[in-house]
Parts: sequence; structure tokens; C-alpha cells
Amino acid sequence: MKKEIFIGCFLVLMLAAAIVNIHFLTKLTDNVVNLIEDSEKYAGQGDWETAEKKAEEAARLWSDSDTYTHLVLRHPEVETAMDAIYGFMEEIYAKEEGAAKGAAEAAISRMQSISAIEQIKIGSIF
Amino acid sequence: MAIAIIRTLILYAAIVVSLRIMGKRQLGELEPAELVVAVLISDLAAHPLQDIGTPLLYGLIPVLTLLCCEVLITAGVVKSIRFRAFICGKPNVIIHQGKIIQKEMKKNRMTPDELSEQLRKKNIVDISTVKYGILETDGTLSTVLYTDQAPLTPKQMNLPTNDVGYPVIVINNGRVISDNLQKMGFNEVWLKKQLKNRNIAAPRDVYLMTVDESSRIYFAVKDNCQ
Repeated sequence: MKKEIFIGCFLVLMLAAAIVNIHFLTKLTDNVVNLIEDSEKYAGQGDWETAEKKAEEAARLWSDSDTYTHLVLRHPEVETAMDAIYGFMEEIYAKEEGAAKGAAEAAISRMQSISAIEQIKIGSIF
Repeated sequence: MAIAIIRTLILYAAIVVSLRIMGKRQLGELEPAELVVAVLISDLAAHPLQDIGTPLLYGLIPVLTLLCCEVLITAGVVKSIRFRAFICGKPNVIIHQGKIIQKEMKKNRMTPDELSEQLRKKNIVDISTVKYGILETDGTLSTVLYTDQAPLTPKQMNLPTNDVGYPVIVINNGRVISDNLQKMGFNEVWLKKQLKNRNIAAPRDVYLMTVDESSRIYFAVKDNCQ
């Protein structure tokens, strides 16, 4: 019976760890999204220097979580998100306000889709 | 990750129920819950192996979830007769007093050909010699012959028997299994003597040597040492 109790606890623990993972991933993607939005806002105000800093911060935050993201996400998803952030950074460096807006939307959308796919919803399960 | 666990639990339940509905003839010496694990685990493990872009956790978590399901279901099956009947089904008598119970055959979707095949595998060609034929929960057929058709035993013939026990391997492909040698009450000195009697220089020249409780020895020398 001890084995069964251990296994039952292990299953519950796995579910708990998975739920903690959802919160952690949501927090990570939200932070990246917030930094991209901040960067886009500063770019709109013509403060390109701060916009660059915020965009770089977003890229650094995502790349610093590389080990974690490669453990829990499909590797092509991680790479595509990184490419989207770099695409946004390029437009910020080029000081192209319109293009930066489009690139920001693409990067934000990529982040939100990564977060959404891990949420426990009927759509995600089935 | 949570999605992987929930999906695995749903698929596990769905496949167990499907296999139960499909009936015993689909199984083949495995209970439905065991078959699900056997079928799914190999496929789940293959995905991260084939695609290096998929994290290993995507394979490990469903495998661990299946392992948990299997242990918990087995515990439930051992504890509760009702649960066992639900998960594994019940054995069905398909031959009674030498007659085929067609209703049970139909229920288990078993054809006369398949029944004949199962009987032939048991060296039974005449169904009328079978008192009971029971389709077990793992899909195999158990048979009980009429007593006048059952093989004779030495006891029925009042014949004395010499129970020699189970032969134990003491040399396996040149290696001496010391534990087995000791269990049988022998030692290396006895072994060397046995080898010497057979003109064998060392245990490495022996392919297989077994000894039973009556000290009967089976001996096979390696082909290149003959």
C-alpha cells in the first residue's frame, strides 16, 4: 500500500509542479510582453534610447531563461519567439516607428501564444 | 506540462474503455490496462528520440503519468472485485458440457474458427471432449476436459514417482554460479571433481551444467572444446 500512496502522491506532485510551471511561464511571457510594450511606448514618444534599453532587456530576459524554456517548450517555439524579439529590436535600432509597432505586435502575439498553449483550457486539452 | 498530464489521463481512460468494449479477442495475454501501457509507452518514448526539437520532458511526463495510472489501477483491481470486473472484465464460459454457448461467443465476438484455433493450440480437436471452455480476461482460452478424456497421472495409475526437483544452473556459458552451487549443497571442490570425471580442464569449457535435488547432472561442453 505504501507504493500506491507514494505513486498517488507523485501524480499529485507532478500536477502541482505542472501548475507552478504554468504560473512561472505566464509570468515570464508577461514580463517580456510588458518590456516590449514599454519599448514600443517610448518609441512612440520618440525616446529611442529608452526604447532600445527596454527591447534589449526583453531579449535578455528571454535568452537568460534559455535553459528553462528549452526544458518545457518545444525548441522551435523558443527560437521563433527569440527571432520575433530580435525582429522588434532591429526596427527599434532602425528607429522605424511604424515597422517597430508591427514587429512588437508579432513578438507579443508569439509570447501570448506560448503562454496560452500551456493554460488548462478545453481547447488546449483537446 | 499540465496539458500533457491531463491528455495522458484522458487517453489512458479512453483506450482502457475502448479495449474493454472491443472485447477479449483483441487482447492477447495482457489485461486491458497493461496493454494500454505497453502500446502507449513505446510510442511516447519514441517521439523525443526522433525529434530533438521536442523536450525530453514531453516524453517522460506522459510515461510517468502512465506508470502512476498502471500502479493505481492495479492496486484498485487487487482491492476491489467490482473494480476488477470493470477494468478487466469477467471470464466467460463459452463451452459448457461439450456444447458451445453461442450467446457468449456472440457477446465476445468470437467466431467458431477462432474457437477451433484456440482448441487446436491445446491439442483438442473434438469439442465434445471439453467439459468447460472459459475465455479468460486476457483473451486466452482455458479448458477443462471430461475426466475420462483427461491425461492419466501416475497417481491414478498408482505408479511410484521419483521427484527430482527443479534443475539449477551451476555453470552458465563458462561462468560458475556460486550462489546456486551453495544452494544445492555443493562446493567448488565437488565441481572440480565433476569436471575432472568428464575430462574437462576448467569451468570455462562448459556451456551449461545443471544439477537437481537428486544430484542428477546435465552437462553440455562448449562446441570448440569437444
